[in-house]
Amino acid sequence: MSAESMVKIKQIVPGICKGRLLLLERYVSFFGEVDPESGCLREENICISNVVLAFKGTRGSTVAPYIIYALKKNGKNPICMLVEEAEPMLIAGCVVAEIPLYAVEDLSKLRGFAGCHVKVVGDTLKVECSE
Amino acid sequence: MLSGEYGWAVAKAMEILVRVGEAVGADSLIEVVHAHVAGVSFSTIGKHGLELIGEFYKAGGRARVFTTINPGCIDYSGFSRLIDNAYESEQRLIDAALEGMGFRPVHTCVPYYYRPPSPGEHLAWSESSAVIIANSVYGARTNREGGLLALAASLTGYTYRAGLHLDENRVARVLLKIDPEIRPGYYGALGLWIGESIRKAPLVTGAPKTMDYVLRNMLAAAAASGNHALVALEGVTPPRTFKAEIEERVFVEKGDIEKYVFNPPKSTSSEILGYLGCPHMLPEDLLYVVKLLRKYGPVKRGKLLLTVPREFITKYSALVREAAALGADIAAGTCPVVSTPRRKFDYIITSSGKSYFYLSKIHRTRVGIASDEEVVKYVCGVYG
Repeated sequence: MSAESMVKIKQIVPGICKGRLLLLERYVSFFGEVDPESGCLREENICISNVVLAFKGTRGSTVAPYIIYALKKNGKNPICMLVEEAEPMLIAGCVVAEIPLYAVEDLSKLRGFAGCHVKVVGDTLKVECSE
Repeated sequence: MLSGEYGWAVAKAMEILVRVGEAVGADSLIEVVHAHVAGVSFSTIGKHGLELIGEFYKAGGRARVFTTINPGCIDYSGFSRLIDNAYESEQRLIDAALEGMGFRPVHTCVPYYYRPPSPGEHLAWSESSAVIIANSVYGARTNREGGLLALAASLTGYTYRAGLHLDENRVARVLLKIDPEIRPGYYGALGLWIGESIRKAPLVTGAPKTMDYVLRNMLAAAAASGNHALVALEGVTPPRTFKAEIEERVFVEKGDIEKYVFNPPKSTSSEILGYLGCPHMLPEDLLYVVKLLRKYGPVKRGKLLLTVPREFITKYSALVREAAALGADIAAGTCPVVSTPRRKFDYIITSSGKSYFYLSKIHRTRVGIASDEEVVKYVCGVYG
C-alpha cells in the first residue's frame, strides 16, 4: 500500500530535488552543529548527506555558506533543502555549493512523512510513502 | 554576468545576489560604490572559508568597486603579546586571495575612515557596526550583509534593491529620549540597552551631536545586542535620509544601564584586562588614549589592550610607540572578537558595548563597562 501527498513549495535555488526525506522540525546552525567532513550533526546520530533535508531555517551565520560549500566538496551534502525561512546566508551557501533550495510554507505538513520518498515537481513537493 | 561570460566567480556572485534578492522581494539590483567584506578572519571562517575565498580568487574574481576588508585573526604589527598569531600562515593565505581580488587590505571594522560615504550612497557592507554607522551617521544606504554577500557585491558592483536601500524602510518609529544623567563615557552600555530593549528603528534625542567615538560605540553596541541597522540621531543623521513616524515614546534612564557597568572585583589577585578600540580607534581616539596614559600611566595593574586599523602601526608610529612605552599592548588589524587571545583574564573592563556583548559570550569572561578614562585609570592603578 502506498500513500501520496502534495505540499506547496517555492523555488529559491533551482535544481533537481528528489530523494528520502529527513525532517528536522527546528533551526539548524551549520556552523558548529554540522561536521562538513562526515555530513553528520555533531551532537546527534543524524547524518544529512544524500537526503532531502527539511528544517525550519538557519540563524544567519557568516560561516554557514562555507560549511555548506565544504559539505558539497566532501560529497557529504544533502541532495536539496526545504526550509520555512530562507535567510540570505543559507541562500548564498546553496548557490555556491549548487544545492537546490526550496521554501515550504508550513513544515508541519511534512510531519509523518520522514523517510518517505519526495520529489519537487514545479511548485509542489510530491510525497510517496510505501508501507 | 549571470550566464557566465565573465567566468565562474562573477556568475556565482551574481546568482547569489539575484537569488537572495528574489527571496526578499527585491524588484531589481542597484549599483554600489563601496563593498566592505567581513568574515575574513581564519579564527572565524576556518579552512572552509579559506577554501571558498580561494576559489573565487582562482576563478578570476576581481573587485569592480572600492572594497575594504574587516580585521583578520592576527596582529599585523607583531608587537602584541596578548593576541595569539598561531594561525598566521592560514590568515596570510586568506589575505593573499583577498588582495589578489583587489580588496584593500585595511583589516579594520571602520571602513568609513578610508572612504566616508555620502548621504544617499548605496553600499554593500558587512560588519554590523560599520553598517549601522553608515546608515545612522553618514545617511548612506546599506543592509547588514553577510560576508559572502558583500564579496558578491564587490565582484559584480551590485546588490539587491531591498531593505534599507528603499526610502520606505528608513523610518524611525520609536522616539527615544536619553537621560542627561547617562554620561557619554557609558554610551557603550546605552547601546547594549537599545539593542536589547527596542525592536523598531528609534529616533534618538538628547545624545551629544557629535560624530566621535561616543556615538559610534553606542551604535556598534545596539547592532551587536539587537538587530539594528539604522538608529536615527537627532542633529546627526543627515536630513531626508530617513523619515520619522513615531508610534511610541521611550525614556531611558541611568538605572536602566547599571547592570552593564563595571564593578571592581573584590579579590586583588584577579587578572584584569582593560580593552579599548572596538570599533577600531580612529587617529583622534588613539591620541586621546595616549593623553590619558601620559596622565595616569604607566600600566601597572593588569593589562591594557588597544586595537587599531592595520596601517596605524606605520602611519601613527610615534603615538603607537608612546602607548607601548607606557605599558599598553597594541594589536593592529585584529581584535579580541575575531582572534584567539594568548591567555585568559578573570575580568575585562572596556568602554565598548559591542565587545562587552561578544567577549562575555565567546571567551566566557566577566566584562564590565566603564569610560575610556576610567579604564585607563584602573589599569594604571589610580583607583583605590
